[in-house]
Amino acid sequence: MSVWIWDIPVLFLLGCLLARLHAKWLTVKHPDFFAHAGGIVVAVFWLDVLACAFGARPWFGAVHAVRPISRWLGLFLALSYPLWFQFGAERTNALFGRRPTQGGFLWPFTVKDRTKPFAAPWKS
Amino acid sequence: MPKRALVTGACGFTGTHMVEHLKQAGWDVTGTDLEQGAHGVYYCEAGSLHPEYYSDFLRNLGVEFIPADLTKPETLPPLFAGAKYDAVFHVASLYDYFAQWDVLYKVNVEGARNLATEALKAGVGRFVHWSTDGVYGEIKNPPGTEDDPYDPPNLYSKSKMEQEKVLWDLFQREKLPLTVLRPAPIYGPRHRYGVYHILYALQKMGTGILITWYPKKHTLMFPSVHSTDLVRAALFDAENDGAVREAYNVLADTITQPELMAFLYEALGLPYMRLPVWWPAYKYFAEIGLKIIKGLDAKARRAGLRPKIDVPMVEYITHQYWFSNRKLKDAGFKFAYPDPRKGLWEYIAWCKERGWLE
Repeated sequence: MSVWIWDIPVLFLLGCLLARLHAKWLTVKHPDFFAHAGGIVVAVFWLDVLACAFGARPWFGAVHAVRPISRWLGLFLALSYPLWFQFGAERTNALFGRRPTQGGFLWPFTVKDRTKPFAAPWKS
Repeated sequence: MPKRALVTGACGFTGTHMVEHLKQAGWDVTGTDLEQGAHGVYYCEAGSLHPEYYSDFLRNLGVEFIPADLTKPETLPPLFAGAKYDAVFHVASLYDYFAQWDVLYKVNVEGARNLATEALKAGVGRFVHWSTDGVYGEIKNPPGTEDDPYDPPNLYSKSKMEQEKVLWDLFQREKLPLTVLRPAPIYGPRHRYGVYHILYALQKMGTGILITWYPKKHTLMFPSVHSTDLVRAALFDAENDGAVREAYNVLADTITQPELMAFLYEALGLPYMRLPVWWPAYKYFAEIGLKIIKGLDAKARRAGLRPKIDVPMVEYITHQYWFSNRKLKDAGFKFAYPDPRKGLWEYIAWCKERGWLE
């Protein structure tokens, strides 16, 4: 079985990026964005693994070099993809906040508040 | 004939509760506070979080309101003109950790002296004074009692210590019928400065860390009291002749900080992670965090802003503030909220209903 060695770091970073995008701008207008985007990202990576396993190379797989590893380890890594994606998202949310009204762990350490104030949703 | 009471700081968080409780108990109440416009003179309202001024509350309760400024003795005689008070509840205080010493001294120390002097002239029956358990500072041999020495850790608590000294002096020299209440951090409906900051900060962060300390003997405690219990204790002491010349810690049974935080994360619906820490390592990093917060405080002051959380509030992460309520209990007082989690649950629901913690 062959996998791209950078799969996990890239999934982690994509989780960070998409979580931040979602938390900052899309929680109200598109609350399902992160779930949809995460599903698509993981599906693409799984498709890549599947294609590599069958010796085919989809167009997006052509840009990276794969390394052969044992079948079970490859399967284990592939199954863990959603977890790495989610792990990146969670760390980002903890650090920067999971809503526009939140600033995460960094919030107390900033002087200027860039988060939105609280408001009862039924009043806004 | 109903008893008469004067409540200072009547438009503030605790003052409104005191007035409300006295009315319910059948007392004839006069409330006093600054005029609404004058409120900003003493409060550093650079940030969004500061004590509220509830001007409509007294009007809705049908309570007589006489505006006065404790720092201006000439405004005080009208409070006592033609009135014989059975008790004065001196709730008013500049409770602002961001305030500078000169303002704190003027309002808290000189203001208390001015009021007590007028109260003595008018021959009030009792003078129940609001201090703070902050006058003790960090407790070396917990739980601390009313006999522990003063060691205030911040300017606000220092002003409350000086305020107490002035009043004890008037008690000794002029026989002021004084009772001193030393409440822990107060919460309850209408509260928006102090305990509320913990809830606010947790919501603003959005994710929690539940720190537990090892060895467990270093576990930090969190003292608090519900506003209902505080005003009930004040009235209890005002009606108890044995309470004259006494000081009482007013706080619910103290719970540990991990117990409190676990409860708050659950009540606020926040995800959190557990982090067991070796105490010396925690202490080292917490001191660094405290220094960073102090630096941010200085930076905010230079920029004309207010830090997210006032430094004295952050000191709870390194200091042991654990006090005993045994003396008040032994006097016969029963708490309505002996476990702070019950009161906090109601308070959090109250905040959520108003969109303060969405």
